[in-house]
Amino acid sequence: MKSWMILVLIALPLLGNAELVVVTGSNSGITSLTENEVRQLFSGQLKSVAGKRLQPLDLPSNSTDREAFYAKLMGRSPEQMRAYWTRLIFTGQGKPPREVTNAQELTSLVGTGEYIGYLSAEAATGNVKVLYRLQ
Amino acid sequence: MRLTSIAAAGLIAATGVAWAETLEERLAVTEGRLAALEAQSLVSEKFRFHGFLTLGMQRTSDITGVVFDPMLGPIPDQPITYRGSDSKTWDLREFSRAGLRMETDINDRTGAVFQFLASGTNDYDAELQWAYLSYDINPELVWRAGRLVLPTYMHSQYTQASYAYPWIELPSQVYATLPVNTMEGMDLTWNFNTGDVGHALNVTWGTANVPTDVGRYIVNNQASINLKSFVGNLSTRVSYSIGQTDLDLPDLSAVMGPNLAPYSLDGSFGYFVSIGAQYDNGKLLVISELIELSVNSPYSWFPKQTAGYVTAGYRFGRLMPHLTWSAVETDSDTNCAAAPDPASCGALTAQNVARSKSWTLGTRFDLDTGIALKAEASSYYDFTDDTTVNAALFSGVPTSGDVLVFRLAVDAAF
Repeated sequence: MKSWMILVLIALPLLGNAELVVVTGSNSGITSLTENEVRQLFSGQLKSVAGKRLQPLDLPSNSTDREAFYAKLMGRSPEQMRAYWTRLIFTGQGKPPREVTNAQELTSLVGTGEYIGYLSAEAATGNVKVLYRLQ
Repeated sequence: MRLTSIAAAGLIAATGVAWAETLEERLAVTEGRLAALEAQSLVSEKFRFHGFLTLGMQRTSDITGVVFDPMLGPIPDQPITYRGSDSKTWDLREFSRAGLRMETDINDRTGAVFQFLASGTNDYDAELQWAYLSYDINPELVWRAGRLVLPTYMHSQYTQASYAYPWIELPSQVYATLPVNTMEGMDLTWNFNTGDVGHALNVTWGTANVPTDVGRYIVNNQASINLKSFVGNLSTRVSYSIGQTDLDLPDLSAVMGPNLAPYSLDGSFGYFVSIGAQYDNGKLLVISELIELSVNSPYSWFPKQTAGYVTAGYRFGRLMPHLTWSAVETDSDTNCAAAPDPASCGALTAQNVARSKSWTLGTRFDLDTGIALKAEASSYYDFTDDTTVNAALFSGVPTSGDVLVFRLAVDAAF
């Protein structure tokens, strides 16, 4: 086994524990969000902030950052989030966050100013603005 | 046109490696791939599909009791069934069903939704449960018109998608009280916040029209208002519905039966109230709901129903055991003595009173995201009091010691 593979394997569990940040486009007028607002935005209960529509984005379902995000924010597992969205989907009261394929797609989508997403703090580039930090 | 561009982009992507030598060429390959992906995502976003599927089974312990025969009166020591399930075989129809939902955006603000349900209890004949247009007046205010599922109970609008809740059967003493669940009409939902508390206020108006064993049950000017509020792990829901009920009862005197026509409902005012709360911190889950149903009927033959349940569950990783206590009772404050035929009036009341309590011990195991295995056992008791002799959900009044119902199910949602 090559040494870089070992390094990746060691680093994998750590990725889930990396600090996560909620971001939007760097040109957005919104400067910060409260924990309650983030929670409501990512559970479809809040659809706009300061009169501006904000749609949440999800990382792919196999992403450890996604699992860590909902575990830290709401204490919910992926199964619990699926059950939660099942309720909203089949009553037409909401649709789950649009799923992106990777952090790059997330960064480019939030750049339009209509979306918010979450990333590990290291992946947050200069193109995004941090609105909330999950401890 | 779009298909050709996808094919072309795919071809470029497939053959690209061989000739992509300069930076510009590689860039072109990447752009081609991106265009293909974008085209694909446009197609997949035009229509959104969601579905749910349940295979469930139910059987009872050996239950005996009193069955009421219209001609012979009460007959003791008869086998009793629970909602069509008995002790001899597993009933695989009661909970088995499949649903498919299609959504499309007509424009930025307008969408259309169709949702079909095929259930074992209905021989898997597909029925259209939801079919509506929705219009976003603004992000917080949504108007919908068409065929909608009534938002009477806390879990009403997703009763069929059982992946969404912990039980196999929603507490039946509560969820079996109303014969109607869909209407043609419209609703308006407003999402707003007061401080840290979020709210969704929903008002509905329409007509419900369903066939029942005794005749067509029509509720005109069915109007409801319900308010859901949520803060942190707690959510509450208050709902109040009113309607004018029509139910034509037959005159059976030609076939030596009673004349039930004087007891028909004709624009009779009725109301339904539901108050519920749910607490879920990810580990501990507590759900409770209380309902009341009343219809103004001739000689007050239709009894007022009150029912409720409380459920507590605790998650150990993927496994969640849960315990539910549920009860229903009716207040049969009738005026049948003044009716032209007190016996028939009394018989109608007797058919509509209900009384029972139950404990349900269940467990849900999340096999993987989107699929859950469930098992539960319910024990029913306390079927009679001074005025009520009707176990409602059973084919007669059980008198045997243990009245147990067992259920197994696999649920999926995608």
